[in-house]
Amino acid sequence: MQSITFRAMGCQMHAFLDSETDDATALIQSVPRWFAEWERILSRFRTDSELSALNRQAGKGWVRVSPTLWEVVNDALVAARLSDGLVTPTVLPVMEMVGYDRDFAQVGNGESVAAPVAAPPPGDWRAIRLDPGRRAVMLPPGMRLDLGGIAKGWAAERAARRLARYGPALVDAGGDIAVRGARVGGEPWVVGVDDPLRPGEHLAILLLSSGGVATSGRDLRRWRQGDVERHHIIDPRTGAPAQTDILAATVVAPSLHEAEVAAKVVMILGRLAGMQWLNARPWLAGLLVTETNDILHTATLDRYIWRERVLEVSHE
Amino acid sequence: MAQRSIPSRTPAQAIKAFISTAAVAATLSGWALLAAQNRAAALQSDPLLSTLPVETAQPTITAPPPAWLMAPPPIPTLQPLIAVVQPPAPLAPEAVVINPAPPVSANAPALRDVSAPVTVSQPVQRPVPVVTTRSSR
Repeated sequence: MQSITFRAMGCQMHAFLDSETDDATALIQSVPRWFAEWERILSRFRTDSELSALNRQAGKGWVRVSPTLWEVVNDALVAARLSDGLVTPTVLPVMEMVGYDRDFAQVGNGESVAAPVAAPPPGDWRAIRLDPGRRAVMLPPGMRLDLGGIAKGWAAERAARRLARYGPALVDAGGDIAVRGARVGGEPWVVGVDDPLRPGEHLAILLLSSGGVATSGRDLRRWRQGDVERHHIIDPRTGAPAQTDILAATVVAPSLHEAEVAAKVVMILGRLAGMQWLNARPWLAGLLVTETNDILHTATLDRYIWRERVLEVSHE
Repeated sequence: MAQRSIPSRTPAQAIKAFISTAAVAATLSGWALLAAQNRAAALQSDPLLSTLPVETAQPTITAPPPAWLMAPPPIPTLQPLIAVVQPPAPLAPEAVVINPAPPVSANAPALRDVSAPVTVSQPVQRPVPVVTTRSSR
């Protein structure tokens, strides 16, 4: 099996390709370059990115975009629709108001950022207009997009799809993981779930052959703004970091995109409403850790979770 | 101390004692006389009885003891034990063994009785994750 590790999109990336051919070797070496290209298009922190250019054109008419930006904007709107607006790309002004206005490596260095000010309510995602014929996007005045986790998930899935032409593949984009095919020999990929209260220790072991798994949490990307602790999960209903009793939510789904959306929805909804939301969608499997260290999971997680197999011997 | 005196016998009592004693003596005398008379009469009527000697001494052994009494008794001879515990004859080549026992492994573990269902954990190693899902970093 071949693998490569690199840094992109503000995260640590890993790519695995279960093939020993020379073509596979050449292909996996290309993965960092793919991510660099996608980051150049999709980053909100780069003023020269295509996304930043689009944001600057808000309220000024239609903007033709690249296939990559087109796909990710569409994914972001699908996420908003699936989540009834809880996961929306329109929270960038709020994110900046609460201090997440630069790469997290600079935000999360322990220094307090500017004192909080009243954030404008997030724009309505349904106001974003798309023209598939011309592959053009029009943003209403004042709206700016943050494709954040959606862009990262899209990149991981796209890279895994490309790699899968040469063998079973797995791409880990900072903890959001896309899987394409069981490993050679039929064995599933083994994925650990990090314990938010004991980083570096595994809360569970998952066995995956396809789809995706994503974790959303407020255990890592948090900072202080004045006397207030902030994190990056914005609740568009309040226009502020979500007041939630969940520390981290992990979701397994048929696609990484769905897993990413679901994990964030559960984080925003909290343990009771979040578990109800997951249980209403049996194609999803979730594992939640609350701030009181309760561990909850859906029954569907049994399909993926590794347990020590126990042999029952009956004695007559 | 007063001493009790023996009362003297009256004449009437003496007469009664005399009469009783005399009657008993007369009866015994009569019986002895009659017995003597019967014996004499019997001897006269049976000649065999009159010729038999009267055995008054112990018998004398004059014949030698029988040979079987003088000879030592025969002692039975024990059969050799090997003749009793000889191994059974081997099965004929065409013999069929019914319900043969399963072969036992040379290093099969010893079994022990247990009183309740037993849960045995298979020696499965915890798989090592290739990646870990966590909130973005």
